[in-house]
Order: sequence, then C-alpha cells, then structure tokens
Amino acid sequence: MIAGLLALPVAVLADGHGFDPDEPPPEGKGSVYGTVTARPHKDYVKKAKELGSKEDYDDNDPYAGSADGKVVYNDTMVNYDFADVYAILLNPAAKPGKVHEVEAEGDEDQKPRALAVAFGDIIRIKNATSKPLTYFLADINGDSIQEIPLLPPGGSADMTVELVGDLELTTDEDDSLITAVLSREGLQSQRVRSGSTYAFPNMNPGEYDLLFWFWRLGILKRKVTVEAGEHTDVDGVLSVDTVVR
Amino acid sequence: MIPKGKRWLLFGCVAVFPVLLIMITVFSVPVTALAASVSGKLKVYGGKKLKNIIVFLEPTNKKAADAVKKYKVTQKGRVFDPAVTVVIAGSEVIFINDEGREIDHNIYSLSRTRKFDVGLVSKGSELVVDFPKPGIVKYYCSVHKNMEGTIIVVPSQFYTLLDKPGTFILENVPEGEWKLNAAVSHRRYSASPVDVAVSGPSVDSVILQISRKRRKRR
Repeated sequence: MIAGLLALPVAVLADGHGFDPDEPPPEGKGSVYGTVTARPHKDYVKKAKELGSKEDYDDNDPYAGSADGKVVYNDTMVNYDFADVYAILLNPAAKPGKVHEVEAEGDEDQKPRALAVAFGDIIRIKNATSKPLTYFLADINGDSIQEIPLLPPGGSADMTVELVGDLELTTDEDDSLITAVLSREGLQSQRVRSGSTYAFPNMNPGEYDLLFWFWRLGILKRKVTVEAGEHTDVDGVLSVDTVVR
Repeated sequence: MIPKGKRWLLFGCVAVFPVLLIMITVFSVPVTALAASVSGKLKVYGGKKLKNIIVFLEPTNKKAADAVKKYKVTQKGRVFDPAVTVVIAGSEVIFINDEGREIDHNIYSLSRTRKFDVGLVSKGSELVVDFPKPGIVKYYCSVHKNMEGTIIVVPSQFYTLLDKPGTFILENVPEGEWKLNAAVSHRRYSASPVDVAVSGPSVDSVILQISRKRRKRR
C-alpha cells in the first residue's frame, strides 16, 4: 500500500505530465515530446550484455552483468535506471518565477543534487542542518556570484536566480553541501526518471533549443522545429560516449 | 656508403655540432646563474580557514612550460589515487587500472579545460591523457558512483602546495616577468594575482591575497 502511494508521483512524472501524442494539439500549436534516457558507456553496456545474468552477485563483484537485455547494477555503481534527468526547452516566451526547493539535510547531504532553473526563477532554500549557513550561487566557469544572508538552523529563504550559466549552489561554511544548477533564459524543464517520457505541449510554432541534462553526464543539445498541428518526437540518450565528443 | 656530393654536408654537421654544444653551454650558464627564489606570504581575507592552496607562477609572455612530466593516477579499490593531482601544463597523466580483480573503469571529464573519455579501462590497462592548458579538471568514473578526482593544471613548474595559508617559497625561478597566483577549490574564494619581476637572486616578502568573491552579476 505504502509502496503503491510512493510510486504514484513517479508514475505521474513518468508519463510526460499526461501528454498523449495520439491527441491532436490545440489549433495553431505544436508540441515536443520523447523519451530521455541515461545509460552507462556503450563499451560497458556491450560487456555487461556479453556476461549475461548472474544469480548471486554482490557489491564485490566487478560486474552485475545484465538481465533481459538491461544492465544490472550493484551498490557501488552509478545506477542509471534511477537517474533524475532533465528535458529542457529554451523558450523566449516562457515566464520565470517557478519555485524550486533545496534542502540541506545534514553534513554533506543536500537535495536535490541538480536543478534546472530559468533566470528569474526562485530557489527556496531550507537549512535543516544544525549550523548557520551562508548560501551562494556561483558560475563554475567564471567569477559571477550571488548570495543570500546567513540562514540559521531551521531557517528558510528565497533566492531569485540572477545568473545564467552552469552554476553551483553551495555554502561558505561547508562546500560539500552542493547542488549543480543549470540556469538559462526562458528555460522550461521537466525532471523525469531515466527512460521516461517528457513533453512540452502547446508550443508556438518555431525553432527551439532542446537540452537533455544529467548533472553527472553533462548536456546533450538538439535543435527542434515545432510546427502547428504537429507533435515532434525527439529522444535523447545521455551517456559519456554521446556527450563527450 | 655516403655519396660524394653529400660528404661535405656530413662534415658540416660534424664540425658544427661541437660549436653548437659550446654555444648552448655558454649561453645556458647565465640563465642558471640568474635563477632566483620568490617568497612571501599567502593571506586569506574573509575569515575562512582554507586548505590545500596551490601557489604558482605564470610567465607573462605565455610561453609554454618547459618542464612537462608524466604523472600517474591509479584506480584501486574503486577510488582514484591520488584524488588530487597537480600537473604542469603540457604534461601527461597515465591512468592505471591497478585493481586486484577484473574491475573495469571508464574515466571521463566534462571540464572546459580538458574534456576526455578514455573508454573502458580493464585491469592492468594504462591510458594516457594530455593536459595542454592550465585550469582545473574534475573527472569521474562513469561506472562507479564514488569515484571522482581532480587534476589541477598549473602553467609552470614553479608551484607549491600549502596545506594552509602562510609562507611560501618558489625556488630556481628564471629571470623575467611573472604573475604570482593561487588556485583554491572553494568557489567563494579567489586570489588576486601579483606581478613579480625576477632579476636578482631573490624576490622576497611578496603578499598574495585570497578573498571572498564579491557579488558580481553577468
């Protein structure tokens, strides 16, 4: 019962927010949809499939192999099946102001690990640790920085995003509390579980930048053309071998 | 057998070589003699007790570093060792899979300084990656979640690692114009580079400041 309740939000996330590609879009509008997947390096996938399934593997086994054509993971590995990946559409017509929540839960533990935000969005930060924290947002490729005043234990505060780029949200006192932040103008995003469907319905016709992002693997960029009355299907596969070229 | 017409060429090479050798020796002596030490104090403003700071000199004429080397990073027990490596720009790092069992790794980096993917590295493999330009390179194993490391690429062989702010000394620095700088891992802090002119036996009491970055928007 509890497991069923917990699974519900994931199911809602995983269906592209109720998007149905068999339904025509509203008049004069189009959409972009598809699946976004994170997976291990193609050479690893190949080897795991060659090894096949193993009944009694544990964390000391170098390979958990594969089962039903899918890579099986153990606890030492990056489990790409559980990766939270982002599908992002850069839409100049999108309005900022969305609220994103970040919580420092304890030493070296801050959630979520990654956040896609638009310039002008709000990051609501909660300090659930036992120490005061001074949060700041920094451009990892430059010197730009913004901060909020000292946040006491149990306190919460809003930070309006004023930077664009590849950023990190961390603290003066403890830089192991860290969230990777991808910020762009006009960013619309959906965070989905790897292998799930994303959808951006009711789009005006035109050309857009579509990004797929998993903080550990980086960004995959696509150009997409939305046409009135059409659903445009774009799938993305995030992996070291597709991102690093 | 060397053709007749080319014997003069060979003689020329044989005759010129000792002269070149003498010239290299003669002209290299003053450079060695003018090598100096650069010393001073690293100060941190903003109250933070920073650790593991690299103080380095960068040639202002942007000439490539001469003392390139090969460095080793091993993977054993599903960790990178060392986790942090300081290398001179132009050097190579040999990634060695030294696991006791058949554990494969895939080392990669998304850093702007050096993006790379070495592919799948099996036990006993050695793969080389070059690091041509200065900067900080974070790298990961795409297979194992706790495997991450950092390579700090400095622009010259004149650097020192300080475990905490304090005094530093850089030895055998050739004469010329240099920029003294520091690399800090904490994103809130950065150094203010200092121009250093080396012309005598030593340059002392140089103050290098690290301070909190000010609020700066794009």
